[in-house]
Amino acid sequence: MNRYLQILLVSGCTALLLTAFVWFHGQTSQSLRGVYYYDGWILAVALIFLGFFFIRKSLRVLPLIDARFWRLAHLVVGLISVVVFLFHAGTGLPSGWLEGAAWTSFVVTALSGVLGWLMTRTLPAQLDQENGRILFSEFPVARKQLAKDVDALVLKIIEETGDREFLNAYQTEWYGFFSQPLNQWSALFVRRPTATELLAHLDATPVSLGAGDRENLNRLRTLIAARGTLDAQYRRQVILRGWLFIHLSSVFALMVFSLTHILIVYAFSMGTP
Amino acid sequence: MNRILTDNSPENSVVLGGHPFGDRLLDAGQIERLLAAPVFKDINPAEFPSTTPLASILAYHGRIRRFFEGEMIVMEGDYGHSVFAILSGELRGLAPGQGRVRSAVRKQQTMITFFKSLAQLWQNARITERRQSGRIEDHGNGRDSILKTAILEKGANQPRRKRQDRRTRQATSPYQGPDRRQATRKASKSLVRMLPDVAEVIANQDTFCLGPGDIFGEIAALTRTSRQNTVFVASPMVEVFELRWQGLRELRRWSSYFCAYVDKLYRERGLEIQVAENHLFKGLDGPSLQRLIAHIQYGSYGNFEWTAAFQRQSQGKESAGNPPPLEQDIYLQGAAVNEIGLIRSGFVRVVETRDGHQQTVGYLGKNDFVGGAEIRQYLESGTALSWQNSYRALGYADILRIPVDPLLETLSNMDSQQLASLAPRTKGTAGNFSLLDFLVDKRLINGTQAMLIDNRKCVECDECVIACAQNHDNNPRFVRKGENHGPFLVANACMHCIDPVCLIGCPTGAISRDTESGAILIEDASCIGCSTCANACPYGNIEMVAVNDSQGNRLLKADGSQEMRATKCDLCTGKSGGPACVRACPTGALSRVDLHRPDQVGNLFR
Repeated sequence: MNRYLQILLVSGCTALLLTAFVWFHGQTSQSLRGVYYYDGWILAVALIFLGFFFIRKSLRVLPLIDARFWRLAHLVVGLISVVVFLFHAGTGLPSGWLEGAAWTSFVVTALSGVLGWLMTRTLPAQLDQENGRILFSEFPVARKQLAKDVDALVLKIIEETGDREFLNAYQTEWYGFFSQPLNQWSALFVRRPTATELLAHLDATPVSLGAGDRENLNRLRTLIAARGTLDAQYRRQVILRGWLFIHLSSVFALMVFSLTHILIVYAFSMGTP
Repeated sequence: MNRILTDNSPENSVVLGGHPFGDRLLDAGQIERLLAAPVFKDINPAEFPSTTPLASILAYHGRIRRFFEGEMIVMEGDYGHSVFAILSGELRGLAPGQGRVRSAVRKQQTMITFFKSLAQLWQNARITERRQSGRIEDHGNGRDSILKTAILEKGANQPRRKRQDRRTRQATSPYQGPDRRQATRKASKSLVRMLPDVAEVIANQDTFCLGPGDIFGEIAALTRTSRQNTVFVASPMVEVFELRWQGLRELRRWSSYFCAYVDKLYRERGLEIQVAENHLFKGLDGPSLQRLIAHIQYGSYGNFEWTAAFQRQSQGKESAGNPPPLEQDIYLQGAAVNEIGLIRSGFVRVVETRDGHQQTVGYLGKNDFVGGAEIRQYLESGTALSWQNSYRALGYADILRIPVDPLLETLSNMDSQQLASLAPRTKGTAGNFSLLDFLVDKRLINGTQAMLIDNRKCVECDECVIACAQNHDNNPRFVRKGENHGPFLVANACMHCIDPVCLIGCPTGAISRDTESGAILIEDASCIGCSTCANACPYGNIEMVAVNDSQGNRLLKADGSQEMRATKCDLCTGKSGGPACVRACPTGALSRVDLHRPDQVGNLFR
């Protein structure tokens, strides 16, 4: 299908569903059961529908509708559910811990969903700009190969120049940069030089260079930049994969709190006409 | 008699190439018998150079094989690489398109229902590449027993009446007792395929006879295309001499008699059909067609075995210095056009030289005319008839060379509408030369179902890989790596090629093209794990995998080596909804595309 036609169709469907909801909300606002009753159930149905995408992704052997259409529907219904939620919960903050928990889990789910959608729109293109992609499972191999190449190159430089200062700099500053895997958590607490810093450091390090050594140094610069690219790729891929854990965790929390919310509402609404 | 090579020494390998076709070289007695056979007795040994004498070619590139009643020597649709000369016994050939016989030996693809798909959720084993161990252990004959069992299993699936008929026929067969047992043993050891019911096939199908002195399989061996007929043994036993394509090429090269003989057969059996089927010549009457065919010459350019060199170059393993050229010039720009070519198989690169710079401007494939544009231009504007571009065989191209004069005579009676099909324009990509170079250099123009991933949309979720694995013995049938062009990745998944070189040489016919869907499929039960297809695939899209039993233990052959199977993408044939990878991709980044369609390719890479 033509891309613009698809956008038009999706936007049209979203607008239609939203209009239908607003109209229905207006119709039920005078209902004896209360508007929250209907809004709440519409929200519950929307949340159940949103969960179908997860089920579809789990049932890969079944000839169900393509995942991309489910995802599209997930986005549309997700957007509508935010509007329904605003009508249902109002714009103020919730009172009581249960409502607060349900409200928070919904907001986290919605925000992580929107953030995830934005990231899936931007990060893939960034990954592609950096000399092609690398498979997630191949990062350790690529890191190891880079470290090996750098080791060999540095030894060659030291052998040829006999520069002790360069050797010290490599041992204290750079060796860790190449040999250690990128550990996101430890990087938060342990200061490690970035590729840019290392390149600056390399420029500042006085190396007794012959004419042929400049080529080796340039090669070293290339390897440092390659490792920097590799780490950037890894970070982006971790984010691309990781946001879903936050989204799904909040979804499960939302399921639990929503169910509890429904049960409590029904338990305390007996006798209402 | 010429000197016969009696060992497999390196010197002999250099002269004749590779390794002997048979387990060992033919001995002097066998060669003497061959040279007295009707097919070879008129060949003049003096025409052959001393480095490659006739006897050595036969001894090195040929083997004598025995087949027994009901065995199929070649099957329609198999991709052949050898020619057969009958020494004794009677064979029967089935007219093309005898699907019933094919279905008896090749498993028909049946659609899996929704409920069966649902049942996979709890029935699918957690063990990777699980296979039944019983059929291997029960027979204990190693790899040879697999095929035999597979065929027996198919026989068991036949309706009761057919099994009864078979038993009756066996009981009344004149070939009984120890000889029959010997026949069965031989059959099991030589990896042959049995026809379920010979008598019924002969009685009810359109067959033709082949006897001593006849040869068959020459078209497939010469042109590396699929076999046109199924040939099976109709007498208790036959002996055939099988000559691989290298030997056939040598004989045609040196022996004027044999070259003329094979060309005559080719004209009688294949040429007329092929020319008549071409869109340009479809409306021609019989005499005009015959006049044209009489002038057609057969041309073969490049190297049959280009795939190995291409693989090495793709993987950067080609030794530095002078790598063997993967392309051979057919026609050079600026030269006078004396003939044009009709491509029978393979691809041709169209190159334009301008200001000393060469640029690929298109490519041509099967049934396209090399030089069609020039002829059309000549007919329309009367300009001098010279080559506007250079044409090169991409790896290998098999061409029918049609001289200009008889062609122009034939075309003189055609209207402009008919002439339009002479040059449907070279396949291009709307001026995107970078894309064209990419597709042609990497030979991706061969793919009809290439896996194209738009990296701008791919979120690295691996849903495609997981979906593929869940649908295929917990092991994905592709690797999400491959050739890149801009943001696009053509992944290492079977492309279901137009010219599927992987089919050539499969000893059991396990890999074949599905006649309905056009997909290239491997029948697991017939695969003996010989790696022929995996080694032949120029794109490295066939993987050999180790198979396990239901307990997760590795299956071993009788000789203790690991049991292997060839695996590749099967487009989820038999499963409704199409390939699982496409269905599972949440962002629509992955699609299966026909890279051979010039009208689509440009749009795909945008």
